[in-house]
Amino acid sequence: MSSSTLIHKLYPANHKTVFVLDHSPYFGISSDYPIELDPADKSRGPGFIPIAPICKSLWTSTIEAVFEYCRIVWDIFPDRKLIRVILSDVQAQSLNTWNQEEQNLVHCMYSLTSIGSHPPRQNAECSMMYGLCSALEAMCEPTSLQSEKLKQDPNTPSKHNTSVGGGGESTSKILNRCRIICVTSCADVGAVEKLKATFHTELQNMNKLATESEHLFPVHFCHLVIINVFPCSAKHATALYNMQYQETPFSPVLSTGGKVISHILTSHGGDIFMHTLSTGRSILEDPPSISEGYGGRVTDYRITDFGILMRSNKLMAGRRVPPGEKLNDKMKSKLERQTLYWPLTISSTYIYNNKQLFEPLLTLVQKEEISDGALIQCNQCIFNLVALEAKHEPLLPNNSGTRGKGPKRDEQYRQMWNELEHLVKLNNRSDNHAKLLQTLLDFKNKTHTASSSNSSEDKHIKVDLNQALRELE
Amino acid sequence: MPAIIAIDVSLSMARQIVSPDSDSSDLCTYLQLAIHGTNSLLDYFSAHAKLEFVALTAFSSTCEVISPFTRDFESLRSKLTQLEECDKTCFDSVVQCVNRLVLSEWGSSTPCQVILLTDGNLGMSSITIEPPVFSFPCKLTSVIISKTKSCHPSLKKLVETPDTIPFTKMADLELSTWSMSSTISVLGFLEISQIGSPAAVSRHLVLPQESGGNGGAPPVDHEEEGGEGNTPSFCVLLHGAVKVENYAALCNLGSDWYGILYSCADSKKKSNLMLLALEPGKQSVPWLGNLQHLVSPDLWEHVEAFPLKPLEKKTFPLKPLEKKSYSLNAVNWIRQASLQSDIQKILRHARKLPDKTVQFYKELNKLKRAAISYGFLELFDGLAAIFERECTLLPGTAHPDCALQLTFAAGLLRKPYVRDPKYVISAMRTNFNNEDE
Repeated sequence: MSSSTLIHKLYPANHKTVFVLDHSPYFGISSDYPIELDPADKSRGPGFIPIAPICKSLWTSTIEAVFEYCRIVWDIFPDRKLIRVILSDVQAQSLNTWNQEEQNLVHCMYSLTSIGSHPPRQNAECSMMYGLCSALEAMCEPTSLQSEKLKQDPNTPSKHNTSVGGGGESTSKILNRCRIICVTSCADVGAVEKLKATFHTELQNMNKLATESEHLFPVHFCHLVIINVFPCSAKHATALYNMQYQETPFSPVLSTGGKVISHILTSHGGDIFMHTLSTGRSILEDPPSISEGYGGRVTDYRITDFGILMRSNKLMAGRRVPPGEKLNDKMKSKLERQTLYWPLTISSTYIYNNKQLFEPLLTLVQKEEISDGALIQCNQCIFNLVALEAKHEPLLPNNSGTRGKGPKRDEQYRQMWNELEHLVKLNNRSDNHAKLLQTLLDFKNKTHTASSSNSSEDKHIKVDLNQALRELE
Repeated sequence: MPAIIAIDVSLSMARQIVSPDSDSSDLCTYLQLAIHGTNSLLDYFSAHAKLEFVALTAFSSTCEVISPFTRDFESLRSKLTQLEECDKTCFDSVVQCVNRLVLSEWGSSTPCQVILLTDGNLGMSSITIEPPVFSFPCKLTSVIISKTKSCHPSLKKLVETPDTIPFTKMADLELSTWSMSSTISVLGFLEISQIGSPAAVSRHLVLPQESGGNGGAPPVDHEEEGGEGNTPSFCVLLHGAVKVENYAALCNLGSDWYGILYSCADSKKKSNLMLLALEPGKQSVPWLGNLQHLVSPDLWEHVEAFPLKPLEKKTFPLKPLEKKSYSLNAVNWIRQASLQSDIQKILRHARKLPDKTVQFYKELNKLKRAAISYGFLELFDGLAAIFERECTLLPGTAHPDCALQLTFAAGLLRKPYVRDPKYVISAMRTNFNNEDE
């Protein structure tokens, strides 16, 4: 891509468009284009008297066409394609500013009605110059996007950039390219030339002012379009209508022969969206099933448990979130905490297969902090496990789904304690977490010693346990 | 991404490579070396990128497709043996041929890589080479086989897994580039139906692989049964769970770049984990709102400034902040027919007076307001004439209110003060409906 094309694409003139509309009494005259008020297909009986067609004024035709242009542009480009409409008669009257809140038809229509849409009838000193000068002033006002970019650019002289000191010539590469569309009625070629000449003079004057001003942004390029309007005007209508379709970005794929679905229209939340589909062959064609790949033959993934995890991390949208708030990061750290230790398969875990024995410890240990009350609950959980082991209770429910007999009960408990220790160690992030880990290690080591010697020490452990329970109360 | 290997088969490729430290027994031509290199490349593809499509072309002054895109690397190998030397090198021919091949197969938006193997010798021609213009996103790698350096290392470098191409987007005043991070983090889950069909930059097949680190390995011993398929993989678990629950995972692909992980099934029993790379930016799915602000409800308590009341929770799809013109019900008389239909609507209400008195005046005021906004004052007299004519067309059975209100409204429309935007036309009080006195 050549650099000039790049500049045209990066700084398109249609970022800022100003319509300058001739609002002189001349525009109040009829367009001579008849409009039937009765629908063509309604033929009534013999007594039916047709209503004489009426004509819109040049003004009505102009403002309708301009608003239609705005409607299409704003529908397709809700931001970044800004339009202002300025009426020019004995003064310039602007229907809106560059503010995003005023870039819509409801606002423009409202302003137009309060100004008084119909051109004045008396022949006062009307001129397009008022509107043209006002349009050039408007062009030197940076849009919010331009202001933002000027502030970010280190080469911008200090008047736009509060963070950098010192003045001097601008070396900024940010360009102010724009377009002015004058809709007027020129008697002859001379009038057009005069308009162009005045435009040039005023643009230079304005730029001189803007360079010296604190708030203004000089114009680097301005595309001037003059639309000449006159009555009985198939030409005038064509000139305006052609422009409306310049912005339409869709280019449907043409199919030859058989039917090809290239686009789909759908609605989401009341807006219509056009989905463009790829019509070529897909490079993802005929992939092997995931079950044929790595990890594909494992059959005891904890799918149900992961479903629970997904539901507890189902996303919602908030209406108002403070600026700069990165809720994504909170979500990410929550998920990281919850999956710090998350066995993928049923056969690789004891503590998640018979959860009622381990809750609420499993949930509480994932929290950012364990409260004192929660710590008591966690300790209780450990004591219960110690008691179970002492009673030689089975660790897994009978229908746990593991194949064969599995390891012996002692071995089950040994692995369970290791797993629990691993979980609590990974989550050791507060004082109470550390206390929990200590309690766990104390009991784990005691039971381990106990089981490695003989059962005569069982009594000793029970005493210990009872003592601990008493302490708790 | 699909690859096109283009081998130079010009006469200069038939030269023998003379190397000082090689004896005459392993003498080979430039073309043989290029074929050897291509074979190594195909070895790499069959070992590490089985699902890539590869096409083979041979070029001289013309360019011939030796094999269209295929995953059958053995057939490509066998076709390599059939290459024959032709005339002189011409790069234009290969560019045209590759463009045709890619456009007819994948279209203009699928990125492809072109690997050009040549001795770079243009023979007697003194043509200046124009930079190649590909009609698709192209990653071009030229392998120049010359006497000075051995070609094997450069070929090896070439076949290393291609990096993801950064995404570049140009908007008014902004040229932005996004690169995909090497880590994809899950940020939460959504129902498939909530996601809809968002615009995507690309789609990728997610293939489970042996994890390098052993960070989260469980301490519980379990029997090693051996074999790749029997070692658990998170991808397979994620795929199974999102498939069963009809969910998808929202993930982070890089700074301000989001993606969706979901299960994709073909018509048969096969299904796979897919990654949909959304258009970069936090607003890439308009009906989900700002993607940076999606959290599970339990985290709302941490959003301190604006605690949400339960009623304020919004459901997907979100309504747009600003309505498009088609849902605004605005007046637009660009076409004659739309003005006529607005008038007919008022007349329909007029014939059902007094039942439709409210609707009649509501529509009349709407039309009046629009006429004033557009400066379309000619409409006032026109509409008055239509109302007066409507009175003459009323059937004998019509309610007296029809004629009364129509005549009243017609009279008002001709008064200059009605053309004040602030003036609202209200119904005439008739003797026939006294109920509201």
